[in-house]
Amino acid sequence: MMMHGIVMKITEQCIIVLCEDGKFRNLPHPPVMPKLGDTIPVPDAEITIKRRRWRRLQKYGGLAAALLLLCGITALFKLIEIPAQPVALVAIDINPGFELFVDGKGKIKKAVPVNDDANWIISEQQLIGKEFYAAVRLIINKAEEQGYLGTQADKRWIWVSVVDFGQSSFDVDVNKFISGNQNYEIERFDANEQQMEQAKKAGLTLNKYMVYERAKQKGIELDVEELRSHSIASSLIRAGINPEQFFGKSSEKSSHEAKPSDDTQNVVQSVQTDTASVLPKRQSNEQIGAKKPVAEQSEKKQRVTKDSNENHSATEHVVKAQPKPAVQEMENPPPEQEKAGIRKFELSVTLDQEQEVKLVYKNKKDQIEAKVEKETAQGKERLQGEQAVQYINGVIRKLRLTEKMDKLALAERISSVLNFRKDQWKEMEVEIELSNGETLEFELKNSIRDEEETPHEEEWEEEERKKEKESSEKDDDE
Amino acid sequence: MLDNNDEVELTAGEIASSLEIYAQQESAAALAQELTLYDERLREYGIRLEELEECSPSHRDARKQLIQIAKRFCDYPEMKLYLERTKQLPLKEMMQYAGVSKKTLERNRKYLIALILIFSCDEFVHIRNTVSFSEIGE
Repeated sequence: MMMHGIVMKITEQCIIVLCEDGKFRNLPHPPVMPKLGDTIPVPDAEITIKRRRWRRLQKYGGLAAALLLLCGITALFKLIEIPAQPVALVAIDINPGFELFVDGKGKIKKAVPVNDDANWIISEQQLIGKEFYAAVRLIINKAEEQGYLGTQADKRWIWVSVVDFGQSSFDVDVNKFISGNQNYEIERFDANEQQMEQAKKAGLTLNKYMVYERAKQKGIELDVEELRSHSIASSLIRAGINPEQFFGKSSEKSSHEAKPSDDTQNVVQSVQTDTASVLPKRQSNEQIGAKKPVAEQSEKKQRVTKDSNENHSATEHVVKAQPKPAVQEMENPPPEQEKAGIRKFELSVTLDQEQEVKLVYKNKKDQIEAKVEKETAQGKERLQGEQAVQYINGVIRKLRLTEKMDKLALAERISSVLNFRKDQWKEMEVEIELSNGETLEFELKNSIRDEEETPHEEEWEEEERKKEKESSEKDDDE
Repeated sequence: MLDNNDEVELTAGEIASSLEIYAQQESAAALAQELTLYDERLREYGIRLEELEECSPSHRDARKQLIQIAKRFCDYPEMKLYLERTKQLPLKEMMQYAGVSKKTLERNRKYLIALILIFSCDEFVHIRNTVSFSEIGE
């Protein structure tokens, strides 16, 4: 039998009923609303708001508890994971290079040697678990012991790139890398994961890629192949760039400029080797023979520094001070430098199908004349004045002559810079005259074409001979 | 004639039923009025009807005992006066006749006052007549 109750009060939320069992109950509004004082049946199940609330509370409470538990577990996992997961990558390039993955506790989680030299000086196992700065100091000391670091210009540099993975901040203080008696130049880059990827794609270490990017920002196109196979310092020096100037450390090292040290001599020697291979043999020999005493070189360098634009790099000045700076002038020359250093640049390339490309650049008493004539399959193109100057400057810059580049290599570079196929050009004439009077002049025939053409010529000659014979025989018969 | 008598009788029946309905409506209206007044009275004691669900003892026996205590409260007019005056239960006196601890009375204070008002106040006659505790034999 169903229990009844008297409706004692009706509110917006519920009706309050005094039931036959002596209990007040707050019941939900029924479909047909009773009047005050009505006796209504009360379900045995006692569906009270309180119970509903409790159930709702239980339901949502359970959900909330589950959510809290989930959050707690996630937080716990994170807490466990933070020290375990690497929070930063610190790439170090001396010549041996390492990629050090640092965890939240500042310890080496993973160490990746990026070249054979790195494998040689220290094993990965010796670095893992070590405190970051201790590991870096160990690398530097080992590199020093093995002669990778020293007082020479290309052995005084340590490049550091830091990639923050964003999980936790890890500050790298490069001052902690070296002890008091060590005097090395440390260049730090802040890189990101995208740059890491691009470095991998380019086959470069992160630091090399960062240097490449910085050079690009400064309008210098470094040779990726060169960077890949040489250390950063030597790649820069080979490209005619002084690392100190490049990384803006010249002011700190002003004493080096005033008094040429072993380092400058190294730069000079390196540059001389570069020029020797490209210039004609006679000139190269002269150049080596004409090597002047260090004091004289220093004087020249200072004079050039005064005369030239202040923005010119020290390396460029050093190069200018050399007796035979022909090719070095062409390596990474800024436009102003080119105008000042190259008096004449003439390039004539004969292509197949009677096509031709001519680049003429003359600098006579600061009167610059430039002319570009291109007659290719794409059509005729002619540039004059400033446009031609800019175009030729670009070509010279892109030629990027290196120490072991011979005539053939130079011809190959010219064909690539001017977008010719290897077998497209027949003949090439190059004439370069520098402001110091030195000239570089050569004519070259495309050997690939010669090989292809030679059998045809022979056949033609044979045919000619046959014809002659036949005609002479006919004459005889007559 | 018969038809007329029938008509008269029917009309009288109808009237009686109408009167009954009227009386019921009157009674219902009076009950509703009392209930509104009851709510107001309870508020004077700091009690809201909505909270009485929570104040109702969960045990059937406890409820039965408290209903009996409330019913017997009417037999003591001085206690009734004390309650009206102070809005507080005369715990000591109640303990004597109720045979329960002071703590039990204090704990069930709101429930007891709600019932005492129903059983002892003259103004809540309709409520008193309507309320039934048949489930627990009271």
